[in-house]
Amino acid sequence: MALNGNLRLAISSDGALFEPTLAFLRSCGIGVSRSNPRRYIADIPALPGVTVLFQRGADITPKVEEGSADLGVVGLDRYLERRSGGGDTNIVIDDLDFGRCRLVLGVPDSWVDVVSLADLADLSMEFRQQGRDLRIVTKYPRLVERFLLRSGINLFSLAHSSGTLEAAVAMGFADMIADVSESGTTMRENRLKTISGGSIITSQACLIGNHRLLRGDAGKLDTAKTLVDVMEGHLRARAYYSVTANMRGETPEDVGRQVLEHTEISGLRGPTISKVYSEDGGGWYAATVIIRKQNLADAVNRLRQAGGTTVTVSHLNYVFNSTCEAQERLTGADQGRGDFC
Amino acid sequence: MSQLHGGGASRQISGLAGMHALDTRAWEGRERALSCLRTHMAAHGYRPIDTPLLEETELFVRKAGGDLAGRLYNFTDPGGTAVSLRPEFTSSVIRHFIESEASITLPARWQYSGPVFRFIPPERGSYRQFTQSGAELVGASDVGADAEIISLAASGLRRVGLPEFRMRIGHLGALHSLLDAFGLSEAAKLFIIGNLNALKNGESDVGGLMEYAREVGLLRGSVDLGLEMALDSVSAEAAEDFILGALKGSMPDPLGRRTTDQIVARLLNKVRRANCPQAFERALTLAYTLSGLIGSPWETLNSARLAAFECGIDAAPLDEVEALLAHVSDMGISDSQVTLDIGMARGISYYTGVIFELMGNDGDSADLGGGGRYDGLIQALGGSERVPAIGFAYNVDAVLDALTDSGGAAEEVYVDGA
Repeated sequence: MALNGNLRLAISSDGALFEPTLAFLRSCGIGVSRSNPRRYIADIPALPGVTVLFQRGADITPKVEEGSADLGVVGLDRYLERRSGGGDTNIVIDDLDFGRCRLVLGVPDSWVDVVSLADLADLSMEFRQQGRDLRIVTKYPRLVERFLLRSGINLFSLAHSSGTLEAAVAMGFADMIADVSESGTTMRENRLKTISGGSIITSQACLIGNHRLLRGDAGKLDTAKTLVDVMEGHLRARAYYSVTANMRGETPEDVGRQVLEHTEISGLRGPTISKVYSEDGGGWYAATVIIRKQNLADAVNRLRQAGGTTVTVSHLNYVFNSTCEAQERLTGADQGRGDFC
Repeated sequence: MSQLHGGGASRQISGLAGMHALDTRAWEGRERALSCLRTHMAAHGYRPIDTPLLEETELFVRKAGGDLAGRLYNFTDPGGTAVSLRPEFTSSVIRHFIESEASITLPARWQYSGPVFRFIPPERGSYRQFTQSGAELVGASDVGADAEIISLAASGLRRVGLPEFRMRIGHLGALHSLLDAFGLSEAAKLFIIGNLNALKNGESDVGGLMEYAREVGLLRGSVDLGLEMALDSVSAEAAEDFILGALKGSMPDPLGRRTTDQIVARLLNKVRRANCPQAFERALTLAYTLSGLIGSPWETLNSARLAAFECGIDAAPLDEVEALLAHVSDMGISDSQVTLDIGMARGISYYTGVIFELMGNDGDSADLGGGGRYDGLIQALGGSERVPAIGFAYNVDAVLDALTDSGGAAEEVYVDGA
């Protein structure tokens, strides 16, 4: 498999993002083909010119930063923890709609006196008066430190750990933890609880890129543009349904007017009307509109009120706008979440 | 180097965001301004000192608010000590005072200048490395000392070539004293003062902050009230026994380094320190009114007195503000240059009395400098007793930018000598 000149996309080889990343790329129509599960490189048959690199999740940000990958799918939490301020990377698509989690503070459930950040600030001072630090173990020292200092909690020490954090408290190695949590179940199972205001960041998978490398290679940039266009089009489509209803009318214009009378069902631009050749004679048309998913029930009711029958609803695979926002960000500086998260 | 693996030619290393180099002309301009300010402060009895660029991180976070503490350039040095580049001089100057306290005659007057570092968004006039020049007056608590520092800061700007500045004055001491009337805990008062900016900017309101205060445990619930009354009538030991007995069935076994006794003792303290919601809401309502009072000094002061009266509390704490305004006026700072901002709270949380900021005359919010009284800092940093102190610092880079904007050619404007 030729690597030279190909766009290199780094994705997780392990952890919570491994399967969802492959599923996401598959759903975008650019599934990864890996000849052998032990190989760490693969390709995307539908998009020649891309080499997929399987990397440890924690390594993807530095790999893109140092230039050994051009793009990477990574958790926003890991990116903000590892990125260099003023470096060559930026966020190209900030929400790939999977890998959602929160980085939260977890304290022992026996701390019935601690329910908020204010309690934690108070407790840290009490610890200091007793001559010890409030010790917090985390994989995210940078994000946690900034968060605590900005929350007015100044007296603490951080211990970095890449292993299982929850045990550190039970072992007496730390007083509390800061870790990612999807549902809070692992925390509860380890007798830890979250506190009010103790959510450090909400995170999800995002696409990052090395804009310096992409600016300097027209071939890779073209491939990257196609890749992000497909991703953005697919993500946009997830917000919509295509709804088709059979409607009676004298002419297509007549049916169009009936639909446009209701803004809820007028779609992105307006309805598409086509003739239905039915056994019971003429006068039937199919009106198709694209509507937001949350408006579905309302739209179906409106279509019925407008005389619609046999309403069918379909998922969309892609919605492409006239321009692709992510393409702009491939070569530009990060305008999104920066140094202060 | 790993950077070279994928990139072909080695990349050009640009300057870090918020850091800037000076060419010879700019360097000379800055040196002239610094020299002018040093000479000016020396003429008023302020002796120069210097402090290290690098200090133990705790020196800066011990009493700093989250705003400054969250913007430190901090790292672990090769010896394993948590250190930070200085974000300001005051803490280091006070550390110097504490170390040499025995040999220092009070009041002591010091001046300093040099680079400081803050990890802030790099906008014009807000460099991440910028030059401060300032003064500290340690050991004087009277309003005359407040006025001396304010006057020194103002006359220095005139001396350097910026006569058309504006000054915003607030007074955390007066605010604190006004809030004393509501019988709140220290934490509750700090909560209110810490949220003055949010009230002022409309980011929050009384209802929102009441909810937040309840959420973080500052307010007493109806159950707590009964509990508190019950606990007040018994000894600490009996109270702990009572709580232990009540929680025994439901409290999880202790996990980690805190014992059940420690947890229960703090829970008791917390219940006892919780505030009456009605008093807290009245205090917040007053703070909300005060946060909107900003304008010409005497008119604003009268409005503040009226607000205190309408709230049914003694307005005497505002006498201190009145005395200060009179002093400032006597020292030649025109009322038209001064804005009184009763709800002002600067980002550095160690201030305890007057606070002030200097800005350009064009309504631009660019901060040319500022300062205030910090009577509690010396003890917080390990001093043996509470020593009053007040100080200020210029943001020299912002002063130079303002000079450029005002068309002042540095060579002609700066006057060496006092």
